[in-house]
Amino acid sequence: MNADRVLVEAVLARRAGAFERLVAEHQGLCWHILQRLVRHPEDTRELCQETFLRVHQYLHQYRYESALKSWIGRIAYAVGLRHLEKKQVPLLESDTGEAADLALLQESDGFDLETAWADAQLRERLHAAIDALPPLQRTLLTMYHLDELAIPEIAQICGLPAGTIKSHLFRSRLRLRELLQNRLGVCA
Amino acid sequence: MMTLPPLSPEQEHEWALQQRALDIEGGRADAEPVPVSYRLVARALREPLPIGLPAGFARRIARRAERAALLDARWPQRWIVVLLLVLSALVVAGFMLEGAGWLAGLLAALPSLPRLFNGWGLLLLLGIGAARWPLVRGASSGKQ
Repeated sequence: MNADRVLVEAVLARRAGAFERLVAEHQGLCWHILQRLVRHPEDTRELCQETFLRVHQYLHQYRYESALKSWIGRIAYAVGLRHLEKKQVPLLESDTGEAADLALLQESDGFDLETAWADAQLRERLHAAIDALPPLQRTLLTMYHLDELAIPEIAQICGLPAGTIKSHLFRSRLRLRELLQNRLGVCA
Repeated sequence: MMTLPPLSPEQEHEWALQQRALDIEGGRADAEPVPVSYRLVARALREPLPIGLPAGFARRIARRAERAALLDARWPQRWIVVLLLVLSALVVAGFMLEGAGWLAGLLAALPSLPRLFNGWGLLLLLGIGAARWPLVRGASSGKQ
């Protein structure tokens, strides 16, 4: 029996500490998804609580068709989306065709990695640029890079085609690279 | 708006550079020539988010969920109590509205009671009394 099934059955049988273990295992992913979507710390905390209360309420409906992580992530994503809709925050900018200027970029951008990384101001700008991306793009980047989810897993969470996830990842990373090159003045 | 077209061959090449930078930063590939800016992006994206989870979050949520589930389980019992109260209220209201009529009907039926003491009814009561008599005598002598 796999680990997801063991944990879910323990929670459904109301074994002591089982649900706390489930929350501890999946709280990181939910926190990342919600924080990237809504940004506001207090809202993130409340939505994360709401997510796990829903998980507890509907766990008997989980059919093991996807990993438990993806099922819980999907609930967190849906909770975050509903919050953004209420606040009338768009998930994505209307113009997503910014990836056309590939000819401007060079494969080698001619500056030293460790010197650039040591520049606190540059890092701060980079983080600010990630934060300024549309909610969907910054959430996808975090799930892919920080939570190390595969594209098909992210597709299950967001309900988007895998190709679209890939395009969003590509475009947002390209946008961040452009920003860095402009900042360092090494654009070809 | 949500669905995007697939990448062009040039974009696929750029995608491969992005992925290589990610693999190098994740320790899954040796350092090789990739744009430094992509490595910086990959490194920044691997950093923890500025605000972490509150301490004791899992324990607090687990307690809250279990309490909520307990309240859910109590609802059926509460519904039964509510239904019994509603039923009792209906009975009281029924007596208040129709009680006078029911009482009159009962009083009208009372004069027929003496008929019990004639014929078969009287014979039945005498039979029961005779059958009970030894028991009543035995009980009273036992007490003495």
